Amino acid sequence: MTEKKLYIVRHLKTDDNLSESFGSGDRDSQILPGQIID
Amino acid sequence: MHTDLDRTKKTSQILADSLQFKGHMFGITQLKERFGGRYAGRQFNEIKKDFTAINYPHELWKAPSDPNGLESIDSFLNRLGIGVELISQLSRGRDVVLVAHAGTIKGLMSLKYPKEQRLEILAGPTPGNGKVFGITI
Repeated sequence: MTEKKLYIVRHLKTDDNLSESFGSGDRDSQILPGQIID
Repeated sequence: MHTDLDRTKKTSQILADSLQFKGHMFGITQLKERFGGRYAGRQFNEIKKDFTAINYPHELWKAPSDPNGLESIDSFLNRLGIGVELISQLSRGRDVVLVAHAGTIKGLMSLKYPKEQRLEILAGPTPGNGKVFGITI
């Protein structure tokens, strides 16, 4: 498989995390195997 | 690409608009921040009451998983690896920009090091908002 570059940017401060609270901020978060949204 | 949390979606849209990018942006749920369990969404001062040996937020990485649902380091890094594999499949050989979280960034950077060195990277300083990192996948 061809090597490629993954550029990773830390998100900007937005209104859902201005308080810098801990973790995903999504208390009921679950991940299904292979799940991709949209 | 982004995770499924609003802050990464919003940032990727800002980035896409500034670059006039018209392609599809995928959300990769595996790359979201460490699950906090009962601690999710709480402020550090509240959490610190349960972790008396920890003085700064980034040191929470030294806290093991616990009955309150704090995700273990192994579980977190394992799902990041799955997320990178998904990106690799979706990218079709092209370079990729991912907007992610501080923990995700440190976790991805740590994966190129031996397991015994990863915790030190995770518990290290938090990258600033808007900072850019690069890895080869």
